[in-house]
Amino acid sequence: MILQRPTPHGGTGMADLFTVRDLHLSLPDLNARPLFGAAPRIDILKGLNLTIPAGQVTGIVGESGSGKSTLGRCLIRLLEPTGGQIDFDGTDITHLGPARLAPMRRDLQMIFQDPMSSLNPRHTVGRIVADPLRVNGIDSAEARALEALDRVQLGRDFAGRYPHQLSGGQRQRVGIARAIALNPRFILCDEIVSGLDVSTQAQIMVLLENLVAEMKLTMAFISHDLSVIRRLCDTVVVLRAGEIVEQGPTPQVFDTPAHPYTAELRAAIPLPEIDAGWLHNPA
Amino acid sequence: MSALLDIQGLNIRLGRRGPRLLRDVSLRVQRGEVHGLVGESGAGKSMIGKTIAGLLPPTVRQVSGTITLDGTDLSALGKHKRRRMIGARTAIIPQDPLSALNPCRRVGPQVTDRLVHILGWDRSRAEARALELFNEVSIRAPERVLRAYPHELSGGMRQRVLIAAAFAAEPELIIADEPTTALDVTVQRQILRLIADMQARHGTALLFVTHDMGVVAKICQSVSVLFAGTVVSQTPVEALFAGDGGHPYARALIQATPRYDAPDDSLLPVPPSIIEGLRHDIAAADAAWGNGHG
Ligand SMILES: Nc1ncnc2c1ncn2[C@@H]1O[C@H](COP(=O)(O)OP(=O)(O)O)[C@@H](O)[C@H]1O
Ligand SMILES: Nc1ncnc2c1ncn2[C@@H]1O[C@H](COP(=O)(O)OP(=O)(O)O)[C@@H](O)[C@H]1O
Ligand SMILES: [Mg+2]
Ligand SMILES: [Mg+2]
Repeated sequence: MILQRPTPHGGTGMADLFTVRDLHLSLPDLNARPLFGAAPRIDILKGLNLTIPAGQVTGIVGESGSGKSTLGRCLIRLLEPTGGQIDFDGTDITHLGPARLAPMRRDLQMIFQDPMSSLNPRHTVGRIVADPLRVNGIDSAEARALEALDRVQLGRDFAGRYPHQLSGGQRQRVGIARAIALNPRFILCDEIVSGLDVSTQAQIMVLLENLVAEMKLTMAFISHDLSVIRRLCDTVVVLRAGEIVEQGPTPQVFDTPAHPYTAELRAAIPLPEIDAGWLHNPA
Repeated sequence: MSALLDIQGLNIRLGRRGPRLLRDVSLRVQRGEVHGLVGESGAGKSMIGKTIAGLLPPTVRQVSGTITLDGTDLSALGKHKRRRMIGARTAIIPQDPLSALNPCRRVGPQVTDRLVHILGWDRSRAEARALELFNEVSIRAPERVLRAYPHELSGGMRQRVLIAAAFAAEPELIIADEPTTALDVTVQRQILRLIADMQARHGTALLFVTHDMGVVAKICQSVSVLFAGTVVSQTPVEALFAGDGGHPYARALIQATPRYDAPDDSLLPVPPSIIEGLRHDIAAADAAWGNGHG
């Protein structure tokens, strides 16, 4: 069952940066390799339809294994879909090869869950942020990197430090600085606050909100945490087992979930308040 | 009646002269209650559990303090006796069920080992007890799970196995160290429900370690809030969540927790003044303590 609802800007002239139609992704099932012939394939994404409006934050939520990261990686074409179509700003990028993708890479940025594994431990923070600018032939890479460090409120002093000298929250700020320095048209955030302490998570969320507002970023924000999605995202897509069960404007999906799975996810969140019935009342 | 677990003035430091990891920690867990131990990563939550269990890393040293379990001062016991008492009367539910289970051994013997080695049961009695507990934690096909390897089970199922194992020997105290942190919310809710039911049915006391104020509100009766190895408040949960109880830092942690029902009234960063105040107090206390122990 797919419940589609109009997005807040649907049909009002607000352009969609991405249009995704009937997106399929399957992989060979290496656990079930037969003696002869091709391995059977497992369907990971099973025909997704969605749009990502420009200038908005689209939340992608679902339990682990539901296909959130796979969808994200298809959008920025780290994975090639096995069916359907992805249009980015009017261009069909579904099967573009590396040469055609190269000039688009700058516009398709990603921030990772684990900043430590995505930051070169031997490079300074300044170099980590400036390198992608240089690779993309952007003038005054250094100056722009410093500017980005200011924007994420680390400050220029951090340019000389190394990743291991930073806290988890500071590393995540470096990851954000590296992505926004390129001024990309799209940023994919994959569980970027999930590993952080609540106080750090709150700080990073406030920072993201400000950046989204100031820089008019278009983002897909993947999270398994509905409460975090509720705060940041304009629209939300709910995934279950490789299918979209519900999508629409965030307040609407939260306040009146149309699909029981969305309601179940919401009910499972332990709010920080005493509620003797929560443990035992069914969702 | 005295508390089941009574920790008084516990100080732990790294090496001979290294930093203090636990600072004058005192906390009490009453019989049959769930006591939350909440704080951010690095606050020392696991260190408290390890001290009780006698599993401190070799580089870490207990400088002072007493741990009394059911009226017996553990530090007054020899190493061997202490092990036995801890083994017989306490159990641990770990955060990561996969790393807590040996991947090369079947689940069954890993669950029954404790019963055989510590309580001296014979294998078949221990196995019967494990099956009984597997049924109680709603594991379908318990015989099959007993013979399975850990990787053949889902995350939620592995956590059920470890919960069954923890309750099998009817300990008086279970230390649960972030037992649901790695799970999806829907599975977390099932596991919390299971732990609460088992705890109530068996009358077991729980020291429930978590960083999630939502989880504290749902499963704990009392709670200690830890910051940088210091207990900043110890209250019944009602007082903490009533809005005016507990330390300002504890309330700030609640307000930093995201809420889907109040998006703009949650995810509030902890005010820097609160952190500075705590750090200031800790520095002063360390200086005073250092004069006696440096
Ligand atoms: N390289 C891969 N090979 C086989 N299966 C994969 C691979 N990557 C992901 N999967 C499977 O695809 C499903 C979706 O994974 P993923 O997109 O990472 O989910 P999520 O990000 O929502 O947790 C999971 O069942 C996962 O096991
Ligand atoms: N094996 C160890 N050796 C030295 N220091 C440690 C060790 N394990 C943890 N620590 C330090 O002790 C403090 C408390 O750690 P821990 O109890 O694991 O925190 P929590 O469980 O609250 O996240 C931290 O500052 C941590 O860096
Ligand atoms: Mg993922
Ligand atoms: Mg810990």
